[in-house]
Amino acid sequence: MTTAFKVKNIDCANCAKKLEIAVSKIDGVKKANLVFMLSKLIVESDIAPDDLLTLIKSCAKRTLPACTVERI
Amino acid sequence: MNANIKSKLIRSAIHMAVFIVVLATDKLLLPTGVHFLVRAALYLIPYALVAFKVVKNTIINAINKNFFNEEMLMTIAGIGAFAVGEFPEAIMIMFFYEVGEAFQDHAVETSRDSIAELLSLAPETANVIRNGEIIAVDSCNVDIGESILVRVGEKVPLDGVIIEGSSDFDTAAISGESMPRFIEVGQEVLSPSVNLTNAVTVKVSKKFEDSTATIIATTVENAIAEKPKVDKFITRFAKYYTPIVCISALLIAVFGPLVSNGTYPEWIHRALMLLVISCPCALVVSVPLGFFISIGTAAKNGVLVKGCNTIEVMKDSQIAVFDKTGTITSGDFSVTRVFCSTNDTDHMLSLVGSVEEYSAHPIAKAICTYLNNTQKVELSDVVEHSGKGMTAFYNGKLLAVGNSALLSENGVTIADHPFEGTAIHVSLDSKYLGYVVVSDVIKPSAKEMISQLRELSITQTYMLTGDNEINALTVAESVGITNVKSGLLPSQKHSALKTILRSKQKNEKLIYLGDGINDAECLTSADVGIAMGKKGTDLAISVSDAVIMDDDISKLPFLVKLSQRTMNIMSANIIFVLTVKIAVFILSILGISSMWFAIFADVGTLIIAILNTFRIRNIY
Repeated sequence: MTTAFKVKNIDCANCAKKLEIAVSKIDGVKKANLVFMLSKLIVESDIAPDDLLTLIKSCAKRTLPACTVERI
Repeated sequence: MNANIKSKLIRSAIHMAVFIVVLATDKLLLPTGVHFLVRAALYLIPYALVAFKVVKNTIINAINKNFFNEEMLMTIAGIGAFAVGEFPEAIMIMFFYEVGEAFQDHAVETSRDSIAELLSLAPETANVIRNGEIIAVDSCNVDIGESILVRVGEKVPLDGVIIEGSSDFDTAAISGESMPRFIEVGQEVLSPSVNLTNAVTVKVSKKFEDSTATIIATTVENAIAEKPKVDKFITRFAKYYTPIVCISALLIAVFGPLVSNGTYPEWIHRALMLLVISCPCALVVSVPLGFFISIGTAAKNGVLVKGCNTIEVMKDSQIAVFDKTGTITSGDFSVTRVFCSTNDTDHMLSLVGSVEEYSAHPIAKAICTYLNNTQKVELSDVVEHSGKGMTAFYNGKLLAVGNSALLSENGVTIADHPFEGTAIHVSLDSKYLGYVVVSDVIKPSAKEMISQLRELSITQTYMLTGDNEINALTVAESVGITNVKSGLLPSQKHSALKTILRSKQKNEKLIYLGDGINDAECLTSADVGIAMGKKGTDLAISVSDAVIMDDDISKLPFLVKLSQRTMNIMSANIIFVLTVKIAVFILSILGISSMWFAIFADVGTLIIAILNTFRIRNIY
């Protein structure tokens, strides 16, 4: 299942890369693609979207404290 | 420039002013030999202003056990510079870091805005006429067949056909063409054309999700989301780059004075320079930004590119293979030649015009359009002979209009005609009168397009067609295509393409242009498949890698040029950033660099790479 998220306040391409790598390492996530130019995170996983959001948020808090993540 | 970035720049300017005052005080007013801590305290004022946000984030990161990031490295570099007494440097590092970030923000925001324009092409509501009333309805909830009102200045929300009124439309979002187009009753109008002169009523022919504006938006969005090969290279590189530079910095700070001359402060200073150049941002940002600008530029010119890979592959294209009908030619028949063996051409044409009015065949329609103004005559017993032509009686005499087979059935023998197109012969009462030739028109830009391709090093051109040899050769010759394979059945077309694909070198890429259902396999097999958006079938469009929205094939050289330009600029950026960083890395270790070099390698390369990337847009 593919779920899309909006990542706000992400203004450095390298930081986007780091978050992308961190999210792709979450257990149960098959693939994560953070499209820097669209501020959009596309995640392929079997985790329920709401749980996934919580996991991504905690991931973002660790790697990029300034950014916020929400469902589209 | 948006308000956020403006306020950042104003803040930076204030910080700079405070710093200059402090610097002047230090150099001019303070006596030499003043205590180290006094100067440190003085410089702490501008440092606190400049570094506040970065240090704050560093602390938050540290609390969250995240130690390895640019802000942390900048903080260490700043503190280190303070420790070794290089106060102005500590401030400049932070100041330029801030300026670089603001600049990057601005560049990214600007290009995001220009794409957002593309992605929100279609208006969200449509003025639907239901039971004589005009109501605003969510575009997603409008059904096929409903009538919508498009006022002056509004965008067409859904694809449809005009049923009332006529107007000039700005179709630039679809074709890139800035000249307004006049569209009248019975003609198709596509979203998101802008109505310029008169209100019109449109009968909706496509749902919102299938309308052109939505297709453009989703295609562009998906294209940007795709990760090209060069991006993977940069990701892998960035993964190792930062740790290597940081570990080197630590090593030389600790072991430098032990293995070589110099004091600890000197070697720490060198290590700090490495920390400043450790951010790979200049490298990482230029790839997505480059593809983003490239895809956006293509879309603005009426070409939808479906992925970054297409641009990557297309720059190496050397072979172009074309379908004939609908690609090189317009796919619309028209009369190209008239010959009459008697002196009364007008009479022959009025006979032809009158009889063809009874047929719905595309060729008959083309003749009727051409002979619209000729006088019509009374006919009786009109019969259409499928695949051959028409017969009728005129003043009791048998009139035959059709191919040579039809005429020979009626006792007239005709030699094969040696020219392109389809000849429609005319006989009256078994007496040959002449012929009308109907052929497909070559697109006016085709010849120029082929010669432009040659300049872009696409020297091998092929045309594959199901049409006969004479027609194929005539078309190919007049536009300058060198290789022709004619008389191909749809399945043979694909095997002909496979033969070409097998014979080429691996690094030579092949572009295929087509529009029909029978082109789908070829579009898939080619390295880059480009479909025609208007005449193209849905299947051809869906399997292609790029779509020329208005079928104007002169966009092909544009696209090739754009891909070459994009990849050249991107490679130049990568080489430039790497060279500068590696040079500064080596110079810093050797102790012949200064902090200014390091700041340039960090922020200077970022700004130059971004500015260079924006040059992709100036393709003309």
